[in-house]
Amino acid sequence: MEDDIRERLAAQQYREAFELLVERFKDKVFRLAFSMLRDPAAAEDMAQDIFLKVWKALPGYHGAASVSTWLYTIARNTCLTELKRRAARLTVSLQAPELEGAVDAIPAMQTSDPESGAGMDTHAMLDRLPDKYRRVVTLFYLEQKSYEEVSAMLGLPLGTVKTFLFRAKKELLRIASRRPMTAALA
Amino acid sequence: MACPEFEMSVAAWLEGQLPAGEREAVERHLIGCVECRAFAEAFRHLDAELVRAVKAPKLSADFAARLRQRIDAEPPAVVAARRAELKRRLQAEYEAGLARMQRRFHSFGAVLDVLASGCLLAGAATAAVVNAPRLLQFLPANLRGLPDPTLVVSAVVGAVFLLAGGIAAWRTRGRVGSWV
Ligand SMILES: [Zn+2]
Repeated sequence: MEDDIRERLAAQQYREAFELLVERFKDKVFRLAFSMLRDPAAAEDMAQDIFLKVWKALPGYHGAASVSTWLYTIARNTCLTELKRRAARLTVSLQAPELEGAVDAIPAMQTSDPESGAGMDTHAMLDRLPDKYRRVVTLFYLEQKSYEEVSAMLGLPLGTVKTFLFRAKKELLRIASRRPMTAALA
Repeated sequence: MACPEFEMSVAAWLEGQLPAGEREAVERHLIGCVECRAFAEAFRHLDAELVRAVKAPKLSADFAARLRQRIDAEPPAVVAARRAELKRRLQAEYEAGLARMQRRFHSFGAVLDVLASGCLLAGAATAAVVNAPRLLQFLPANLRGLPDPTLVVSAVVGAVFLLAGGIAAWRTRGRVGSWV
């Protein structure tokens, strides 16, 4: 699935290689960014920045890793940098007492209809998971329950993905069992 | 609560991820264990709920077009490639030059070695020639007082040269070894 991209890169046809890369991976990169940033608008901006970085880095790609591995690594690192920047900003703003509401500025999952009560509850529960678990769960369901895709996109071993997913679900059940509104899940 | 030794297998069983032998073992256990059956049911519920709730947002239709615009404003990748190539070449030249310099240092150290040995030998010889008669004559007296200044100076100068030459030779040899 990457051979045509590799051929064009080897021939230094960067523009053509890039067009193929964007066409094939734009949704994946967007979903990866979304699983990490939890906000569609921010994820789309991030996907733009990621591909811009990829464009600048294309001539430096020498085929050590597969194209997708290389691309996902750039994508993850770009997102992690953004998350660190946000965390630093939040720390600063929390030091000002009049800005206590700043915590609400962290975008939460906005995937489903806000009118549907049960959906909101699932998202609220997901928000309470540790980052590493929430990313795996989110991406797993965004990627049609493919362990392999989650493993490739998050750069985690397959076994780790399975373990995280299992622990995340157990944790979600534990959270649900404490909430009378979601008794149906327990 | 499910049986700890079965809960992971039950989850894998729900995903259809178990080989035939293990699958039968889990299914046999589920028939007899109410707790694990409840756990499996809760897990299946949660899975259905997550399938329903976690939906991918849509990327804007003009995503690729906007990206193309930004790319066109950037220096093309080819220019970056030439720049990277130039940088690689400069780096290679720099490293080759550095290695040449290290080798020169190495020969310099060898010259110092020879120089130092020569100085020491010359100093020792001079001292011996100049002081031999007196040394032989006044040996017991000289042992009580200070030795002759000429002897001290020539010995110190010779030792310093030998030390410096040795250090220089040792250091450059170590570095040249790691470069070549
Ligand atoms: Zn059981």
